[in-house]
Amino acid sequence: MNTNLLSVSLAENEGALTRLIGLVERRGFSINALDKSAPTGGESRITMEVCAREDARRIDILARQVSRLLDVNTIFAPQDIHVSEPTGRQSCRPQS
Amino acid sequence: MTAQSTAPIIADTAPAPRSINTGAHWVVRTLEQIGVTRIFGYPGGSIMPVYDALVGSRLQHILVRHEQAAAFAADAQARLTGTAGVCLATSGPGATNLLTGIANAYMDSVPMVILTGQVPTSVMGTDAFQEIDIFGMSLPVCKHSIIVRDPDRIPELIRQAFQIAETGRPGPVLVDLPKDILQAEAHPPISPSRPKPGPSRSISPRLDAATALLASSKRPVLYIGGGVALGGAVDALRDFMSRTGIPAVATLKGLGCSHPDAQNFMGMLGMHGSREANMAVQESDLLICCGARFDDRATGRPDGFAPNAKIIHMDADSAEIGKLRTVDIAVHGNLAAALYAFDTGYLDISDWRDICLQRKREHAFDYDAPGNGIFAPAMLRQLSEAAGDDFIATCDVGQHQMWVAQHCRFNTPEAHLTSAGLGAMGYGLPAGIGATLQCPNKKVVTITGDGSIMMNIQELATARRYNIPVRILLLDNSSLGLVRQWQEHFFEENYSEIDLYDNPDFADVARAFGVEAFTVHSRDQVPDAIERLLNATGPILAHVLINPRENVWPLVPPGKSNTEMMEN
Repeated sequence: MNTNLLSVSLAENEGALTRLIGLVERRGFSINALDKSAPTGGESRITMEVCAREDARRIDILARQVSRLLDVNTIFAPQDIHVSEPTGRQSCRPQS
Repeated sequence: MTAQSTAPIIADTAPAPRSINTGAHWVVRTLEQIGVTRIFGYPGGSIMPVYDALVGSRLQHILVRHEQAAAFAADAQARLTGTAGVCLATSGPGATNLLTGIANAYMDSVPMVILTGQVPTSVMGTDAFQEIDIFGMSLPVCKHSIIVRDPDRIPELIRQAFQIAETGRPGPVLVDLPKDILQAEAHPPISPSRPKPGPSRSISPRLDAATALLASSKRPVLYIGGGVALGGAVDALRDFMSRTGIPAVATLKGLGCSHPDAQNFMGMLGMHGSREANMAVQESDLLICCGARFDDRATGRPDGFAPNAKIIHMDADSAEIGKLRTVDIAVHGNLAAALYAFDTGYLDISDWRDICLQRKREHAFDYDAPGNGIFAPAMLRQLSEAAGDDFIATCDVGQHQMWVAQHCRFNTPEAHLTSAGLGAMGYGLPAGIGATLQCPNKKVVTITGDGSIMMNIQELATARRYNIPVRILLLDNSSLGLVRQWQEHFFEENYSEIDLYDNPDFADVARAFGVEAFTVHSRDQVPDAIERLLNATGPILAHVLINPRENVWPLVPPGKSNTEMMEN
């Protein structure tokens, strides 16, 4: 299953990160990896590697849903990184 | 001993004058300045400073008896005015009780500003009494949410909340107000900073391509959704429909956008849509989606929906375009401008129109029913005709909601207030209160069922308290009718928890609240009942006994395509 990189410039408002992550999860994507820069000028850069839980979920639609958030100042084109297996998937449950 | 401690504990026996410059006063003052005239709410600990400041305010506060009703009433007012409705509650349970109403506004894109009290900032995050993270809980059901942490920013942030709620695709915005912020002295700057502008509504230059696609179409259909009314595009849509003659269908929220008597209007599509509407969509070769979102109740099985049609999707919200159906041409922007600018050229669709119109004639609903019992679809039709163009229906959820959609005549989208996306039982009565207050000269009728009314029946007290002439038509089949219908057809008549044989006598209940009430048993009583209801000057409830076995037809079974309609 394809994973995609989603990168946004996020205003440092209260709840902005929660709102962004909640939206991604709620719209049917798991977050494999997440990177947040330290804020500069009231903004931080968030880069996420996301993976659709259903084939029908499209990254371009997610990107537009993310862009509706008022805290999101810029959304960088979602980059399809085409890997054969999900990467960075981690679980707190010990692997058997 | 310090110098301070020698000062008298009470300097003056007279109480200090109370400040009129607290955060709470600025909340009230800002609402007044914005032009809000009415708010719906319920007091409690954390929001008490606002209630203190409300005394003597120009704002009319309507005291509901459950916070959920405050949100529903504000929602109805907002749907009628197009401006944000306002509701108010305290922290904790007051705030959580609002959530269903907030979710309802979110699902139907209704502008709303929700003000919630919160525990003082010093104890936020410590599980204080009546502390709930309503900010966090509101995130999935709000367009935006704000915690105010600086009393001087109260006017700016409340104005921003209204601006966000009312621009672009409308929605609810929650403003959480900690008690210490409400009690603190506030000295906000005189002119609030300008809020971030809403999204652009420019039209993408795709109309030439849309014109070309339409010109090559033999069987086009217009698919009307709630976005038409939200975008102020009703006149443009009616102009487009009469200019082109294209057969049109509407979603539950799209009803009233087309003129109800337009020859080419086929009615509602989807699970309980008309045969002519669903067949037109299925056979179409071009579907022009106008402010609709391919909701599953409208489409049935997605791969069976308009299987041979190309799609032109016009919407103000780009995130809806392509969400559930790949489109051939996307037109993102102001719907009214797009519809007026849509050059339809020469259309040769007379054969297609004839097929659709013929089908519309053949499948006209038959209002004759055997016996002397009350046939709900016929009664609703008569009610709608008697009320005429002043009719506003506020619906609850269930069989009666679908009968209203199928059989009432709506001349404007604002005439039909219904919980479409969320399907929230309990909407009808509070919405009736909000709508009647907003439009006292219209014929507002709350149409409800014996299941739904019990979800917010306490609001009879609100109607009585303010003598709001909300007219309640309660269709009582002593069961949860729509669930019963599904159990009958899709669960092999294995009836489970749908029998409400032990309902109270609703007329007695209404009278106990001081609300006029009467019961209607037979068909010959219907004309007088409708007249009495419509001419009431105070709150009134007509308790109408209907056949518990009556079903909503047609019905598209779950997981089936819209052509596989079950009919009576």
